Amino acid sequence: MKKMKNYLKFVTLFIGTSILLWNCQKEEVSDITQQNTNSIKIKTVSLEAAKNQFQTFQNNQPKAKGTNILVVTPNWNTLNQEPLFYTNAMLTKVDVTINREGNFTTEVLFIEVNGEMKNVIYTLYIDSMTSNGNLKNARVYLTELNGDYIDGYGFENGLITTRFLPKKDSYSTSSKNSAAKYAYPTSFWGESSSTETGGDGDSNGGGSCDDCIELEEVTVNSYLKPKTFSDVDDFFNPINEFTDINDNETYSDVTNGISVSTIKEVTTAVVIDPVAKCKSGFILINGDCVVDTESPCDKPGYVRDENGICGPPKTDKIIDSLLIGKAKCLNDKLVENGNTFVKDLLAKFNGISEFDINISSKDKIYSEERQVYANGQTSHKFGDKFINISISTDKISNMPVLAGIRTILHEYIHADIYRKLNTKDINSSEVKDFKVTYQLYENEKHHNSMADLYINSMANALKNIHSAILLNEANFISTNYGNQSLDDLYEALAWQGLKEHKLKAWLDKGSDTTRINNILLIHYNGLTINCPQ
Amino acid sequence: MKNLIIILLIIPLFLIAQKKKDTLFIKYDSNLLIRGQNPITKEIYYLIKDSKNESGYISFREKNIYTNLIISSKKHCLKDIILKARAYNDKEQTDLSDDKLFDYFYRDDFDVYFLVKDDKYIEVGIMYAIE
Repeated sequence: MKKMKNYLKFVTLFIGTSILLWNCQKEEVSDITQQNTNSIKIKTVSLEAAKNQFQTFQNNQPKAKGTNILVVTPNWNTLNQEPLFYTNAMLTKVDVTINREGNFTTEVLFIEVNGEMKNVIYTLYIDSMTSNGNLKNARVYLTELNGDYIDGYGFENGLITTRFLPKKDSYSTSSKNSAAKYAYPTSFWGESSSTETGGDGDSNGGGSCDDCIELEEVTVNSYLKPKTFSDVDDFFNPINEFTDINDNETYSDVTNGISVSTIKEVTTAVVIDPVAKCKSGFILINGDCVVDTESPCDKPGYVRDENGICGPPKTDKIIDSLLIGKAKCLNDKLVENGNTFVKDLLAKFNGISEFDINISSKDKIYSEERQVYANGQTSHKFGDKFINISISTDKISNMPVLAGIRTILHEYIHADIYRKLNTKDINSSEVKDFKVTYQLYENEKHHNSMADLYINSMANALKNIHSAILLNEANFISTNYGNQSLDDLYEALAWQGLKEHKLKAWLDKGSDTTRINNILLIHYNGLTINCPQ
Repeated sequence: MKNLIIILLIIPLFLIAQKKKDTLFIKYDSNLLIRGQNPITKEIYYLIKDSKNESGYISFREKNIYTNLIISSKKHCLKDIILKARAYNDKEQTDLSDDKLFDYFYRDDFDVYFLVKDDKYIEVGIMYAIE
């Protein structure tokens, strides 16, 4: 069941994203052949972003009366993400109910394509199932959130057999703003006459109406059907099919209402040299076959890495396999014993995330700008999903445990700041709030923001970890110097790596900086060096 | 009918071919760039001169050097790029705001960057690093 469902979704998304992108692409068709090519960038829409996007749509929906407004009601408890076959991006989806009657299920799907969040309503009619519970015959339809029809397909025995297109007389792209767009009598949201509407009862959502868009079934040529589900990669590898393109055929024979001129532009714009084909997983760019990381793999669920090799998608998004020795031990302690602040911070990179982290040990780290050797460094290169954290083995080997953990945490916070600054999810409150502080500074923005927003959290995190892994040491300091002295020590450690940058928050402390510096003079050299096992 | 499906299958390729901005060529400006080699990683880098040596900085990282390219595309002045990014904090144009410049590159989202010095095309990556 799930296999078939995923398959249908895959089909849906494939076609859906194509068509969703249609409008903004037309005017660029003319010079396609002059352009360098590049992969479509498909990214996961975070759960929070999906929710925000839907709510933004709802808030902006017109409060029309007398029309059969489509009302989409999500069940946010079902909001989840599923892997896709041909990309390591995840499909975000939520079950929804709509004010239409019929034997169907509806979901809203979210995906980001070329930097833009897209969404569609996905409607599935299950007509029959196999004895082992897989879908056999089904129909899928895609619409915009307001009900505008996008596309639909019928499946028989797991194969695409029909496509549902708006009838010529009832639909044109130029009149999409008609009220008629909310109903589709050909067995789509209209199998029984609906009287429930989002407006004042002036229904046109039923099985017949004067101004509905009617759908027409178009038979899909069998040679492109996937023979089995395992052939899905072949089906969605268009390069394999190019030699069969017949430029003399016209799309207008079957569109019946979709803008023919638009389609013609596509057929003439895509110039394919039938000789210049690349093998599976590669794409033709300027005459060369280069790795296409978006190309689907033979094995369902596998994704192609930057070398073109297929493998299971990586789920652990904080890679620490190149972290060694003491740094590895300290990082493990931080991850295992970190408080809520630490866990929340790291969770932003684990699982489904826009950025991942690769933390590794380096013998020494050279700061090219300041021309000094550093304890740690966080860096990111354009086009890389990973934010790289390097920890200096040379520096950390002689540091107290707490100072070493502080170093690692400091770099994780840089990664978190970087994420907040560069995420596509610019409307989230944490991002907005952070940027307000960040923009206050002209220089040392990262460190000034860290001092303003993170210093107390860092001190608390160190306090928690200290008592978790070096309880005797914490008790010793507390007993002999008092709890305040211990708290001051955590604060002083948190300031390490910050105060030397002459930050505003540090300068504002005035004479209090003496207290912080002195506490380190008292305790630092007596702190435990070796990572406890 | 065959064409219908082929067109559907072509659409993604059509979209693949859409992207206009792909490669950015930047004239090498020795007044603005400092070439260096990281003593640890041995990586060749190009720093943009900045009167304030901050802990966070943007740099070009050398990937390849080509000498046999015939490129007709426009070569952009680095100074113009910095000014467009509004990445100077001062009127004297010496205090560089690395993060503003990084944001500018990030937004423009080119895939390939070249520093063009005479007949040399130095393919570079862009990296932001902070201690």
